Amino acid sequence: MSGKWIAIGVVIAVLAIVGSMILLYYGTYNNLVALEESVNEKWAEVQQELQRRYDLIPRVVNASKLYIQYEGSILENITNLRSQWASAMQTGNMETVNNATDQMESAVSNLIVSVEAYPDLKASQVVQDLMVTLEGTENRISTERMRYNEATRDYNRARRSFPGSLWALGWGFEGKEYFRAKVGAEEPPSVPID
Amino acid sequence: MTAILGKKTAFVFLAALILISIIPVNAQVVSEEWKNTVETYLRQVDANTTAEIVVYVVQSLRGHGIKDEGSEINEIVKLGVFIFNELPLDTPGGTVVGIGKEGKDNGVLVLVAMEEREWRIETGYGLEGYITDIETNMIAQENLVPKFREGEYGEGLYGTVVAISQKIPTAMEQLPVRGRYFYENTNPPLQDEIPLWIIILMVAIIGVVIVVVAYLSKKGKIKWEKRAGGQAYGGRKESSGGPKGGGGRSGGGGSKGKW
Repeated sequence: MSGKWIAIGVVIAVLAIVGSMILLYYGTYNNLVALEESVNEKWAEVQQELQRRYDLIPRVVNASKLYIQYEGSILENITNLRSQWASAMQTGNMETVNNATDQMESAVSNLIVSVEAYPDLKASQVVQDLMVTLEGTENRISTERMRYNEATRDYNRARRSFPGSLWALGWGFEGKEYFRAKVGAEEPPSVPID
Repeated sequence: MTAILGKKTAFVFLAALILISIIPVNAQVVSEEWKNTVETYLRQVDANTTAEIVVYVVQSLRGHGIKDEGSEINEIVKLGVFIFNELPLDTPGGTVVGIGKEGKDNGVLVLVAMEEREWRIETGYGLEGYITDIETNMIAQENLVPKFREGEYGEGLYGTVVAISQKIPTAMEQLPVRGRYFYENTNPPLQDEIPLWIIILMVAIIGVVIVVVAYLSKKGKIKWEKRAGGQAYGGRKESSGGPKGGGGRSGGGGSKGKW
């Protein structure tokens, strides 16, 4: 009888709808998990590069000491900012860390630029090599940050789009922050070179 | 003029005049001979080591047309990172993104910008251990810079890639070869401003054309037909077992300089 067929049809339709909703629910969740993991991975890459720079700075400072008076100079400034950065990382406070990172980075760019003004320094092969490595590190940091931001963007977007936005908070997915563009346009703190 | 030559001819003449003054000539930097020498060598390197060394020449950092997120990249390091990782590159096997084999990340990019006289060597993640930033700088200082200063671009590039390849160990396995290693972006450097009179002339001509077309349409002399949906852009070439390669990534390592 047609009544029976209609009933069966309806049941199948309802099952299909419910089924696809369940798939959607879990699919959305898994997607957010994957995107968040990607963000975490990229963050780890950035950290790794920051560590590389952290390790490199003392070598640069030591090599340059031969040519530049240490006390009161850009070298001393970088060394101090580096320690401050390490302390800031310990606190885990994002704002403190960001401030310290910005300052240290300004000092590093300042150093890279300043080397140009010192013929003796510039002529030293050791210093040249270290500068190349330092620039390479700066560039890696910048590249990994860019990738981190891209991953963060994908994650944030998924989190705010339908249907993720309905459930994201309930699942515990928080919005993630981007790396702010470095305040490079501003003048770096004017520290005398020597 | 229009009275003498007739409207159409005058229009064509003016259009040609404008186009000639605006569109500059494309110039190749490296001779075909050197290009082939480098390509052959690099294919050999790929076959022996699976590493992909790619040479990319741009006339200038401004005008090449390579864009990231809508705006053209005018800085050599960022351009290098983009070409290495994201720019689709043509190879006989199809379009490929990423220099170096996927998973191995064993690519190297040698990028030169002729007008600014800047070079950049960028290494993939997988080769950073074999060729450090310092070594890329050394290689460029010894091979690229001296030759480029003499104007011997082909020879400079060849010496550079040979020096780079010597640091790469021979591979145990066989992988598909990339097929193409030398790229030249012959888009001319960005012009300085187009003279104002040309702009005015162009606007005037466009205005005239619009008016004429509108007039003729109204009078029924031009019929507008709906064209059947044409074929859109052809899509990727299917690679059928030919050279392919690609898919490698870099993290921004390497060095740069000027000559």
